[in-house]
Amino acid sequence: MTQHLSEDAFVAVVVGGATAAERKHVETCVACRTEVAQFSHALSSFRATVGRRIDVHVSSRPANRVGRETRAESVRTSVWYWLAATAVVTLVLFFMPARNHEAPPAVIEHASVDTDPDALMDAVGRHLSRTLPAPMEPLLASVAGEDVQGDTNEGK
Amino acid sequence: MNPMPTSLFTPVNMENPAREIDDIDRLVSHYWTPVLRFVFASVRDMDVAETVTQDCLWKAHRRRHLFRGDCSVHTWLLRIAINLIRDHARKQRWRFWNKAPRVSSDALHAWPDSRLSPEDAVLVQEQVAAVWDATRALSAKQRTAFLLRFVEECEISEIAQVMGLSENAVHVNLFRAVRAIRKRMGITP
Repeated sequence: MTQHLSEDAFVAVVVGGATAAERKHVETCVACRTEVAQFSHALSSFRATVGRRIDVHVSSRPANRVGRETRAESVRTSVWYWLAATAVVTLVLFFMPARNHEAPPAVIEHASVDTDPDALMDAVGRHLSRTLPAPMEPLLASVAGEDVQGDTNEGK
Repeated sequence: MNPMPTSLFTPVNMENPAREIDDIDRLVSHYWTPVLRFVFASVRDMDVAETVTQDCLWKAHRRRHLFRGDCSVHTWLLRIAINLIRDHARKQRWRFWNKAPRVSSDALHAWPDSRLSPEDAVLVQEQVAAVWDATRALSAKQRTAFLLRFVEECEISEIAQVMGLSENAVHVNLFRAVRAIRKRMGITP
């Protein structure tokens, strides 16, 4: 071992985990023992100062007041929580009946082609669109109109 | 048969540690000071420390059904406090336009030991200020390990439980913290 502790060995002595040889050296070497004591004293002074700061602060603010404030805050928090939950439920219930009253979209397929001209037109259009190729779509309307007139004429 | 105490921070009621946290007033009266001390040393702002400590105790009381009794109540509270400190630090990073005022070194070593002579008091104040400034530059884990060891005087095993690290990792963080502090204090060889 060198004459004095290395920095790593010094830190190991302060933190804990130093080897037996390092601990023995601290016991025998005055300089290293003094340095360890001074640094340890600085750390304990730091601890004591923080403690004093807290003690003075706590003595001016009793702990039981904090307990009451914490309970009051919890009551306020839970009240806001339930108010928010009630508002959400109210909004959901408010909008749900409106959606149920909406009329369902008209389904053209179920309309009677015999009585409803629109339904008849749509039925013919669908038939023609299945049989005519896409490029002939512009003729769809005119062909559908002649067929309807022809059908109606034939029915007479 | 009463269980053997496993650390310095054993609960008051060793047969049923959970009972201690059932009463918020008892929880506050026993643990307000030690938790506030650790949180203040971490965040360096008394108002923030009070808020975090209050949140910590309230959270512990609300979630007392989650306390399994596998550690002391003090350890459990410190674990909650560390998470709250981390959340606070994360929020502060986003609020770059509203940095909370920090307690300066002057404010901390304005609380000298009245038993010391004036010359010794000045020397101690300088040392305390140096350590206080040096801990500011540590990483979060190093600072936490350092404060738990040298302010709260926790054992390595307790620190490992609080921080959720292995004892080896705690040793490494402590090592680096003390080395960094000595370097910033200018007393490394």
